[in-house]
Amino acid sequence: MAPFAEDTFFLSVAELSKKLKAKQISPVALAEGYLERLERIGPTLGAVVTVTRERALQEAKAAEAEILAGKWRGPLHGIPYGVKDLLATKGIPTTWGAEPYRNQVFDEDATVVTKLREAGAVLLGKLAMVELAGGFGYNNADASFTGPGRTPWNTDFWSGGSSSGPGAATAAGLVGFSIGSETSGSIVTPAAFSGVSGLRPTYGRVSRHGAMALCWTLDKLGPMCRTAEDCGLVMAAIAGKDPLDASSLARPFRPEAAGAKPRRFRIGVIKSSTEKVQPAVRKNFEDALKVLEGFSEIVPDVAFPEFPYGPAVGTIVSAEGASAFRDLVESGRSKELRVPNDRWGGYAASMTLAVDYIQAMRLRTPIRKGLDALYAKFDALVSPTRASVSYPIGPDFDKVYPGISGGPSVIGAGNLAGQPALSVLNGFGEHGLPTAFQFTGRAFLDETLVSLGMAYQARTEWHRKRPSL
Amino acid sequence: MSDSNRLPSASRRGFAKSLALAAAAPALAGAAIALGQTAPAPTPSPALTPVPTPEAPSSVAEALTDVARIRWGKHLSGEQLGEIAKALDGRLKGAETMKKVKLTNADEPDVVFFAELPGDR
Repeated sequence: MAPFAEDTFFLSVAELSKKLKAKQISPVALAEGYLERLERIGPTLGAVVTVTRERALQEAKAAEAEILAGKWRGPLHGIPYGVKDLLATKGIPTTWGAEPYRNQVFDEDATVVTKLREAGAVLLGKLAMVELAGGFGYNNADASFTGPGRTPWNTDFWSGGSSSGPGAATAAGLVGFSIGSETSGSIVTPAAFSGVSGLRPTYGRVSRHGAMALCWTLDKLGPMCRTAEDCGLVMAAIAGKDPLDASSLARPFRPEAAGAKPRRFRIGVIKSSTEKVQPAVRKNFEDALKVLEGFSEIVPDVAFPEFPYGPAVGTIVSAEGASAFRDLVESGRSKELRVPNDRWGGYAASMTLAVDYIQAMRLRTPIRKGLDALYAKFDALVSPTRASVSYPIGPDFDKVYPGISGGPSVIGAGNLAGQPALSVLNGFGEHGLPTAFQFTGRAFLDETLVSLGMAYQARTEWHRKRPSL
Repeated sequence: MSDSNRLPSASRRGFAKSLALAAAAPALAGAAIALGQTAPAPTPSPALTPVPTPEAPSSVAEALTDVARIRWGKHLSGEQLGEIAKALDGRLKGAETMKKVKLTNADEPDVVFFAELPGDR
């Protein structure tokens, strides 16, 4: 039995950190409490692949000894966390959510895991994910050898993908925070469907060394937390140049100064982004705008540049994904994948024409310039993260919410341009499921998005809600 | 005969039949793949949009699927080849959409190659 009240496990990283630093709670006891929850609740949510109990307790004991000795590494010191199971961890299986890689073990940690260890964080486990991060076109929640990820708000529904485990585990208080990945939507979607704060960083801000590659020119790693502030704390630990990842940039994350004079933001509302969304999604978004009006100038009906975002993202993911998994596809072992679509999707992706891939890559320049010209006028644009609440476990996605769609492809556009996005919970809709909206911004304005999320959450209580488990 | 040229398990006749069956189903695969790794957006409601007449995959999609059959047919059923044909048809339509964006000869792919030495970056 954990020695803490259940509330403790739903505290933010910032709150836990204060207690750890003040020696009000023990890192070892905290890790043991989270481990118990991860082992007991994690499987019921399809959220966990491997619990790293031994390593967690070693790291927690080290943190405890250092804190007691007065050595304070920073706000993640002693904080338990989990990583999507596409990040390499030395000597521990890294399965990529897929049966063919179930027994895969690497002999080094991913750079992000190394950075978090250096920050004093405590690795609790490897969290579930959609097989191969969904690169072969999955269309169903049951898309991992660990089964479907379930949102803790209503376990008949999906936690989102492809970072399904990080979303569910963070929302359910099974970890202090988690690390997810996004190629096109895989952080912000599970953040929305699980009701947590998820930051998709600017491309290149976080090293991907040691992460499964699906699409070299689109893959990003980022934090999934209970608050926007926590996303900033995690980003400060994991961002920066890594000589082992040529795409990484010397752009460390520096949170905007706490206590600085509050500034008024300029926020644009993306036109047509609520026309065909579910009624609760629209209402909750409109309510969020009222909150944003309290500290921002709101510019309505901002036209989003028109480009073929969907075809471009699809072509790039297909071509790079088919290359990344060519061995798997050509060996015939893709038949071991969970989702029927994934069993043939790699072959279809392998037929992507080179000229179409190059065309898509050529489009990224005008897309990037077009989006930046628009975003330069704002601190952020906002839109509902998803047009609907989550999908039920069972039916294929396309059968579930007929007539619902989200307007411009903000997720595809932002990923093609390498821009950051922050999704935050803004209420609940059908079936008691979370709804969310996203701040999107210019490249390298990750800090501004976090500030906006913090300002919103300082005026609302949605991020304080927690599921009944 | 190399592996890649071996006759696959799905015969040409069976393959043609699977394409016909595939054409009778809604073209969903392209939409799913188009969104990459996140959940696809739901298709529009039949109540809101006219019910599309099922279209057979284009001859180019069929030809590409035939290449897939020749190369990897031993791993694929006729039904899966039909799904691949639908997906490729959607992909080809997407490629046509991409071609409509005006680009000049000077517009390079957004990836730059550097002839650098180890440690330069």
